[in-house]
Amino acid sequence: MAKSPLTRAKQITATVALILAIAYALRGIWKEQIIWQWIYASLTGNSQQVAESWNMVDRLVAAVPSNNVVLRFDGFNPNKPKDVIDIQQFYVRGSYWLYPRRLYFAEDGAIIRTGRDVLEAKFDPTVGWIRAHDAQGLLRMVLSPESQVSFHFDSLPEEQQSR
Amino acid sequence: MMLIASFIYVLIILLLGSVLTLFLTGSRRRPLVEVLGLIFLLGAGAMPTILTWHSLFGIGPSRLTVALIALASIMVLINMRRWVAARLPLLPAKPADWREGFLGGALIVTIGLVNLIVLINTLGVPLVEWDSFAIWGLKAKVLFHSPLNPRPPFFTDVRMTYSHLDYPLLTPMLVAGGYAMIGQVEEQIGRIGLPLIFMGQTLLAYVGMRMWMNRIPALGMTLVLMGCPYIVFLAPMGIADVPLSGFLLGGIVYLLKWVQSRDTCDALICAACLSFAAQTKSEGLALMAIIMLIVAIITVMRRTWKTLGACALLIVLCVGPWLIWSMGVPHLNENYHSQLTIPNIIKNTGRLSVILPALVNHIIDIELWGVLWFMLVLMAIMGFRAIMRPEGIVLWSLIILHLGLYTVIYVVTPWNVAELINASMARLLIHLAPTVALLTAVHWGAMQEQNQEQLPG
Repeated sequence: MAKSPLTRAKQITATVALILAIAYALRGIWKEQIIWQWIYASLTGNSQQVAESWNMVDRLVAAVPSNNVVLRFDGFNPNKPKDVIDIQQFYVRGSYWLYPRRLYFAEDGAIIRTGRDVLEAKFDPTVGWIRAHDAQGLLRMVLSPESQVSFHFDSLPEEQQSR
Repeated sequence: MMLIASFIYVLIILLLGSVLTLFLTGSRRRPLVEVLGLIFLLGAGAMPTILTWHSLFGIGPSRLTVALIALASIMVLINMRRWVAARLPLLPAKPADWREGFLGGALIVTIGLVNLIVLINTLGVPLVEWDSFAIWGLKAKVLFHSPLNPRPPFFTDVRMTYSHLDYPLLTPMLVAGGYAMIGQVEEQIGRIGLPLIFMGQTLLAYVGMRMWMNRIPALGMTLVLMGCPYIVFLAPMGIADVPLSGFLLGGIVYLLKWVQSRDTCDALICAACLSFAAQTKSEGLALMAIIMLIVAIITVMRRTWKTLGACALLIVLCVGPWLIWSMGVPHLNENYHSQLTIPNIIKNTGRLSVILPALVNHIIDIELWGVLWFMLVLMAIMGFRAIMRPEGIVLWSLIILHLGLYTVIYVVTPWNVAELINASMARLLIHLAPTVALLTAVHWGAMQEQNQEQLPG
């Protein structure tokens, strides 16, 4: 039984469309370089390189000689998107990395949705607050007028710790 | 040692999935691919659900809790060995000629490679994507370190609002179970449970396509869905969108099977998958409600009250405990229920001029979706008759309600709508991808029937 031209045309169109769809999906995966970078890193045992930008934060918070870490931001402007993103990346990644130890970047009860909330809250903990939150000092992330970011850890004085 | 422990975790998930599959598939014999898909998907959904129950009773995930689940599963399987025997052998696949065999083999290998990519990147890549650690990875750590009862301070610490304290916990609990088995937080091997959902979704996608397509087109369409570049990129990252899409696919496939078969078992599998979806993301809860509304309408029309009751009971059992617990968590981010007021919607209708063009732009982005959506449009034209069939009506209704839901969310959101669209729309469309693929298959089937009707004689 011969198929009608319309039937044949539909059949061919559908088949070609499906082949194209498959080809496009495979092309998309092939072109998505990050997928292959990840595979290469996974298979060669270099997976930590993939997270290099985050590893800097991880190493920094891990090196702080304190149980919990209290963090204050100096020199950052809540109205500058870059400043907001910079501090956001630090406290969000740091909080993840440290847990179950805690990274405190705002007063208890402050609702933090974005880095802007953190900067607008102007967190400036007292020695008593730091001690009450089981931390041994204050980590400061400082943005200089020359746009250089530096980190400083101020330990609590001995007598205040023992008090 | 960690690899062995994670492998045992996978085996226990599959064991649990086998028990559930046995319970929920009833007396009907089913094909191997369907049984395997159910074992993967139900197991990966049930394990975190049970771990959540334990956690609500004050027992966090541990080797002991996972071992108890394994022991219970083995005892059930031993007691039900007659049931197992009655379902064996599984339905054999129809024999294929050499051309079909060759093409099918090539497609199966390619689909397998896509799954392998997801598996390798899950086990090989640490959490680098923002939401993967800020929201899901952090919660997995919290769930690993402390049970949900008493409520860990994390869940009431509003400083952590950025982490969406009220988000459902299925995905992080699945990962926390992995951490418990290996005895420590190891974010790569600990995510071993996630590829099981992807594999289950792949198998059940094929099962769904096969309802309306022949073997080769069904395999092709499965590849088009599971090989969407954006899905392959995100699946290993431990964020909840891809698992949600997997559970939704399971729910929709068995909704459609139930529409055709009227078998309560299919409705129960649908309800189980949807209850897992509801525990995966807040959108899953809303979508579960939409799909269960469709189930309710059909049961009212068919007067099959027992089916509706059984589905409702299953959902309440799975979702209820977490839902009650989550009432005590601050809802400070979206809190869309309180935003959903008629005055608020009317006030923000101007946003539609931003939302609708963005939606279209995302849908036609072939870098993200390949030509998945174009396929739907083409097949809807060529197999237009399916629009009036029950499965066509159900799936088109779902797509419209699904898109409508997300449009309303963007209309009422307290966030900057343009920023929110940039951050979330592509992910929201992942949830819709299974429905789009299944609908394409439905229209394909209608086109084939139209073609046969047009044959002379």
